[in-house]
Amino acid sequence: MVPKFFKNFMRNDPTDNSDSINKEKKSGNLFFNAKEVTDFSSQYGGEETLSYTACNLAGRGSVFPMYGDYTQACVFRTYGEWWDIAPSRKKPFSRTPPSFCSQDYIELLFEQKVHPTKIEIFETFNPGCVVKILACQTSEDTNVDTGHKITRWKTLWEGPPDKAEQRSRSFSPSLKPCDFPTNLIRLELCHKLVNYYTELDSVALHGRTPTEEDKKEADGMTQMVKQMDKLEVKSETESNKKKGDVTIRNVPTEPSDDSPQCDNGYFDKLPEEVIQLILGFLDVLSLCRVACTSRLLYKHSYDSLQYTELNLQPHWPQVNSVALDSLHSRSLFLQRLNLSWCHQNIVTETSFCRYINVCGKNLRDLYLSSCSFVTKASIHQISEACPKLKELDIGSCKMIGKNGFEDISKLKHLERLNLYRTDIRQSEILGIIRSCPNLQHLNLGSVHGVHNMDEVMTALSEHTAHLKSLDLWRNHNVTSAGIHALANCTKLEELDIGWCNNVKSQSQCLIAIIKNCLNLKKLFLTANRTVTDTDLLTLAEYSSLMEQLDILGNRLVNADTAEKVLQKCVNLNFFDVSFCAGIDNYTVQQWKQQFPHVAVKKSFQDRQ
Amino acid sequence: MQGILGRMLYRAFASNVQTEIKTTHQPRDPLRFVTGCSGFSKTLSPGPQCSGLKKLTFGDDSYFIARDKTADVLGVADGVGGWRNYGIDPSAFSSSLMRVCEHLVNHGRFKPQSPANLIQDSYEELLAHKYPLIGGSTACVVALHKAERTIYTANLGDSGFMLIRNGEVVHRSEEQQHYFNTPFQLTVAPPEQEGHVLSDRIEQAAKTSYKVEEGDVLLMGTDGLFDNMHEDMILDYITKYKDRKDAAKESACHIAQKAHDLSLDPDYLSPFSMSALNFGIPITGGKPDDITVLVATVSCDHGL
Repeated sequence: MVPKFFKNFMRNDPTDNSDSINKEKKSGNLFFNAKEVTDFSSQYGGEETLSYTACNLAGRGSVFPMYGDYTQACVFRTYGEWWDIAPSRKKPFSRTPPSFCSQDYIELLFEQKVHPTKIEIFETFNPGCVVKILACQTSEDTNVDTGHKITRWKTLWEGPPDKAEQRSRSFSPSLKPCDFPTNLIRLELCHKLVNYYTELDSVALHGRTPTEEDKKEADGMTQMVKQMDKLEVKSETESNKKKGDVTIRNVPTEPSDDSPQCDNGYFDKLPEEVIQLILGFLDVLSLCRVACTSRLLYKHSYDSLQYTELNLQPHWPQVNSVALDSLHSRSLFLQRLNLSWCHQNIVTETSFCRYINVCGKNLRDLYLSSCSFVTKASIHQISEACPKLKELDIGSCKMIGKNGFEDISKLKHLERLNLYRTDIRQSEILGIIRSCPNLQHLNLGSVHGVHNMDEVMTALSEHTAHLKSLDLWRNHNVTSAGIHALANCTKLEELDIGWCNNVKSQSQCLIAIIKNCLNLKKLFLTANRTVTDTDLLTLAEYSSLMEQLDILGNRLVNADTAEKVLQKCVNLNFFDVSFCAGIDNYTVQQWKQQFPHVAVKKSFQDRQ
Repeated sequence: MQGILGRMLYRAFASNVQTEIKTTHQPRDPLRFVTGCSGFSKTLSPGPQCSGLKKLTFGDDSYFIARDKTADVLGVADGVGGWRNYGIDPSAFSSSLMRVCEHLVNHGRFKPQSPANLIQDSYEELLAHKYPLIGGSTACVVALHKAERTIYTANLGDSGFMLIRNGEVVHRSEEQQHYFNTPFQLTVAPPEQEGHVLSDRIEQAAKTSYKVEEGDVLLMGTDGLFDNMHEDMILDYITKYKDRKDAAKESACHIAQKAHDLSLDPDYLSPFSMSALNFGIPITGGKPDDITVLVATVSCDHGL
């Protein structure tokens, strides 16, 4: 039953968008479309336009039930395995639980809080990528230490990615009951299995409004959340706890403080190295749990050598400041750390700085994408505490602010830097390039604060002789002159200049790149409307190592030229010719038979 | 000198007081559009196509009707037929432009006070399509700011609108032409043609604003309407159907029908042929063209 006051509220509120709220009269339930997209990890579209951006997931859908590649949909940056086999790929982390496969996430805010009963996700292209649905509980109370609202994330559903049938569908898996009302829903996606970008049209949240009883319960929950906040990484969702118990019981004897000389079963007979090796296969949570079982295993599982690589991304809902503090003593030899996706509400800037200060000495790789606690102070702390840092990923970190990036230039050994969707400015990126001569991988995708990107390109060609990969996705400020300058980076293996509208092929800049950078393995010329047959013929002649090529949205290239590329570039395994006016579906079908080792992509759109 | 200044100050003060009294005494309900639409395609003309069709195009013409919390927005666009010679469907550009406008309004990505920016943003979105869209179009967008009770307009090219109050045109757009039958237009040219084809910037659009009242009628159309029907004929139709139940829909249908009939009349002295005569081109009769007519009556918004 909907309380009376809610009904009144819905009818009278003038700001109320009647499009986004509907009532199912029979059941007394409500359903909404998302009001706003509050956070996301990546998007295909540009920051200033609306086409193919994450924002499209808010509001009523406009594509469903049509199927195809539409501008009005929400599209993410990657799909398939192509990004994992490109020269810019990252080394995977050990101890990653096999069940964790999420690659992207998006968070949606709804008009009012309800107990979710059903969530409908309208998938309009390459469905099957949603692997997890979470609901957020925010309590009115704030954490005493941090001043942030206490938040808890509950998994409502999770499942493996699915290569579903190629048609649009409404995906609504059965949800676990949710004991709190929520208005913030998070979807996590894995695009590994799909053939092309997955596209989502809209999300509808069905639920019942909280009743008085629920409210009493919610107060009780707040207490629980408060307690949970004090627990360490060990605390996990209940189902996982049960699983954990089972493994714990496999250890023959329970440890007890009364008898310090307790029997550890066969573990006592094993050499220490073997125990260490066995523990090496456990994921982080299991490693923490196994410490509870016996003193012997406690000793080994708290050994700092077990913590040279720490991937906390899969456990982001549980990683809080207290957990991070508790890891201090174990992380003295830490070399690789992944804290991506950790929320500010859970991990704070100060606790991160404390942790990095203690554990940064040997750190080589630090991945912090979409972390809201990454601020100017955090960057400063990293630059002070991590002298050996080689890889830094701060993609989609939006809280760094003015002059926050300056200190990165103190990291002289930097080899990889991901600045995707950050607000870095020209002087800062120039400073970094000048002081980091070893830079090999640089991601400047969707960066808008740099006004003269050509100067940055010139700096790259002068200072970074080892540059292997460069991502300039959706950079409107790079022009043909910049690409000309870049041709001096002869070791370049990967170049993404997709949607760089001001790079014009008429200036011969692409030919210069192709002729100078003979190691080129991946070249994305997405939506560069000026690429001509001459460019592709030069590529067929010079780029014998080419593996991935994207010429989406081109009118000028004809099928014969593209076929030359397929014939000459024998290593080619990916070729995106979507929306190329000169290449029809029939030709693509023929190529698929003729060149079975190449994944020829041709996206489509049903005409409206 | 002082006296004049004093009087001016007094006047300013007095007029301020006056408006204040006005606003307090008359509760000003927000306004909204009740819209009807009709049109004909030049090539396929089996019968009138009244509103309610999902396709939202008539030949190379296209239109949109969108609502937001703050404003109701209408727009028409006429695809430039010349692109057919390059093997390009002119309707693709105009309809995409209108669809994107609609999408932007639905997502609240616009300011009712500056419909020109809406057209500009929409144009930029077109460049962000994966499909390499080529073509050109005129564009006319009118946004009714509900609370301000004001229409804000932007017009580029020879489509247009007129605001009718008590059977008289109180405000109308001016058509913009480079030369005869060649309107201002937004263009995305193929790379090899860049700089060789006409392309106007949105800054050149005529931008106006006008206070509206309940009962006003806004009529929007493409050149297919204004080239075939004189102003007084249109006014007659608006007056005739003013008090019907579906006034907007009915008058739109009838005006479109009439414009279509006239466009095929070889002896009719149409506005188009009169304008041609002015340019020294002897043409008589109507101008067969795609016709789009949008009629919107301004009425009180009772929170619907």
